[in-house]
Amino acid sequence: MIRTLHRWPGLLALALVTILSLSGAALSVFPAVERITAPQVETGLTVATLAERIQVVYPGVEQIRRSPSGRITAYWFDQGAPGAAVIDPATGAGVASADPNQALRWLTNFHRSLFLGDGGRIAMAAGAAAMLVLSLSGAMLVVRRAGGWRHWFASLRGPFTGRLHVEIARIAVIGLVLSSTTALWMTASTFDLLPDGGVLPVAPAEVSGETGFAPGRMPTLRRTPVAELRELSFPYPGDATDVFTLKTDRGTGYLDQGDGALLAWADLTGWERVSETIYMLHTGQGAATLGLVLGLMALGVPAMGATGVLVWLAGRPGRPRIRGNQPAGRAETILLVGSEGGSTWGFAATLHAALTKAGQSVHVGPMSGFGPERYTNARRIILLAATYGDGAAPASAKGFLDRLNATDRAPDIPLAVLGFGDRSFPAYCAFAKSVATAAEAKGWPELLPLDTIDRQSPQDFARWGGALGDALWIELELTHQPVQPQNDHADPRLAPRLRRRGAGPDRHPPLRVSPRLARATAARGRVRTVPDG
Amino acid sequence: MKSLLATLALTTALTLPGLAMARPVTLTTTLNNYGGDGAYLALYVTDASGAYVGSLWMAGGKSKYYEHLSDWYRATGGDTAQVNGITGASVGAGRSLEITLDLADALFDAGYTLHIDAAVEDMRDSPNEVAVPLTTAGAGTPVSGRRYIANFSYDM
Repeated sequence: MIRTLHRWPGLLALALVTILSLSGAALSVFPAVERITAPQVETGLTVATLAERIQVVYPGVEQIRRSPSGRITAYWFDQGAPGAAVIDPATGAGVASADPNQALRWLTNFHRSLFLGDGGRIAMAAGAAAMLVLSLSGAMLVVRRAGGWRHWFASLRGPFTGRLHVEIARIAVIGLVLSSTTALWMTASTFDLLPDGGVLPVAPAEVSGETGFAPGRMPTLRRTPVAELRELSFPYPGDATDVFTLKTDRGTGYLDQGDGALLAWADLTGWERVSETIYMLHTGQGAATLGLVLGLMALGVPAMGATGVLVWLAGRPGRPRIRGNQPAGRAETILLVGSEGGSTWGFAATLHAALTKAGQSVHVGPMSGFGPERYTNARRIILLAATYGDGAAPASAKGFLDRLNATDRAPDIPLAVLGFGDRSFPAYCAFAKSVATAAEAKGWPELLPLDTIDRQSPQDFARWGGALGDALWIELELTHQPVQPQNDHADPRLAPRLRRRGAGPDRHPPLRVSPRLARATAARGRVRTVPDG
Repeated sequence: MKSLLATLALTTALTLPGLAMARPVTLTTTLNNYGGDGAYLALYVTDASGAYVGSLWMAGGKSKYYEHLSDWYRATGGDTAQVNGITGASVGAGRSLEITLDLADALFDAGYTLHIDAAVEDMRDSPNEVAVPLTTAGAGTPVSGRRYIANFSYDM
């Protein structure tokens, strides 16, 4: 279930999340550059002093703005022509152009809407939602694989692509969850779904009617450090009813241009504060270092997309179509599969084909679909059980143990458990072992003792097939070739593949027979009959 | 545009001075190539004393940005009901916005002033970008704006 939740959003939204993450990573650089290049403000500088300095250089100043990076911009009118510049707060003079950066504007529009207006915004929000689903489902898969939150950073084993995927994911997931949730919040805010609109103070009913009180002398501006400033707007020249408008980190107020009195003030609402914090966390504006870290984590998305697709492709052919699958109620042999990546299904298909060829009617299904009351004609149940991570149940065996433990007594149908695993994991075939133990505890009759297959070894499987054939009194030849070896390093046991189309004299060469199985085989004797037909 | 008259009658006082007499007026606003995203524009009318009378048009659909149209926002308290049904898309740099409304005759030559507030993302807010008295003599005469609007005219 979780794997499905991880796989399909991942494959469907791959292009979208790649675009989002690459453009986001590129955007994350801008606040840091702005932070470094912006002229720094001396500590303790007040808005009053700053306004005074700027007014000396630009008498027609209309507005002073401070961006979260600390960059100060002034806008003015000079003989009817508007002007703007980035200001050095130490002198009040312009030091750089205040024109918007075209590259930044292009990237921003691309990142949030693909230049497609509201439709594009919704598509990108869907991409962010897919990213969130992927992050959360991926985190749950990592936890399951590692065996708990405490083992989040435990060393990884298994195939290289999957390992790389998890290696990147467990570091980047924090940033991706943060970026995607904040993105969704910002989209909701843009579409007016949140009550985070600004509240302006009530316009003052009465002003002094005077003009010309220098902003450098206004008590409120003398108390406000530049570090808190957002915006100071000057009144229209010649309009005695207009006011100074001051916006700070705390709220918005109006100042009288005739006597400098604070006429009205409104604090930011709680919603506004939350939205502003979220904006900062998403854009890195005001938190440039965090922005860079998030950008770096976002770069992991294309890499995870590529490795994720490789993992999916590697696992996909492992689950073949089962031809001639019998209904559970009619089959003599019930074959239940507990598989995570899908490779165990390949073994099930081979076994199904061989048993069918030997005249058996066989039902194949996932272990999660275990329902003994439906197996009315069954004479044996065979479980092919892989293990996920640290001994957890694989995806298609979810709930099997719970259901078994909940029953009063096990079904009266003999059981064989075959575990699939990788000996380089400490919890080798741990799930198959728990199943066998639970079955024994419930008094489930045993068809064959628990056996295991290491790294999809065809030899192990052929040998076990021989033992199963012995138990069923049929000739059973299991020739299984893993579609794709899932381990990165050469496994010597895979080299001499079993390629025996004709029946050789030695059907199941005991390449590596466990002592227990050898004893079991010896005890049962080597008598075998071939059913006619 | 057909619903405009009804909307205006309901929400504003624009049609009150002379209910029966109205005429179509075309408002044309052309923007500069100011090098930014699409501009939000609020077109509204004040009376001779400078008090807000009603809104004619809002270019820009996201009400969270209306506070940047600061004079309009201060006059209306950001009340989106003022622009219900008379809201369109924001206007790109270098583009024109042309709207035709039925305006009451009594609005002309009676001291009313048409204002346009403009705002562009990440650029300076420009309230009162245009303030032009509504007179029959002034119709068809282009007026230039302060920052974003190259020219504005009303024709009837």
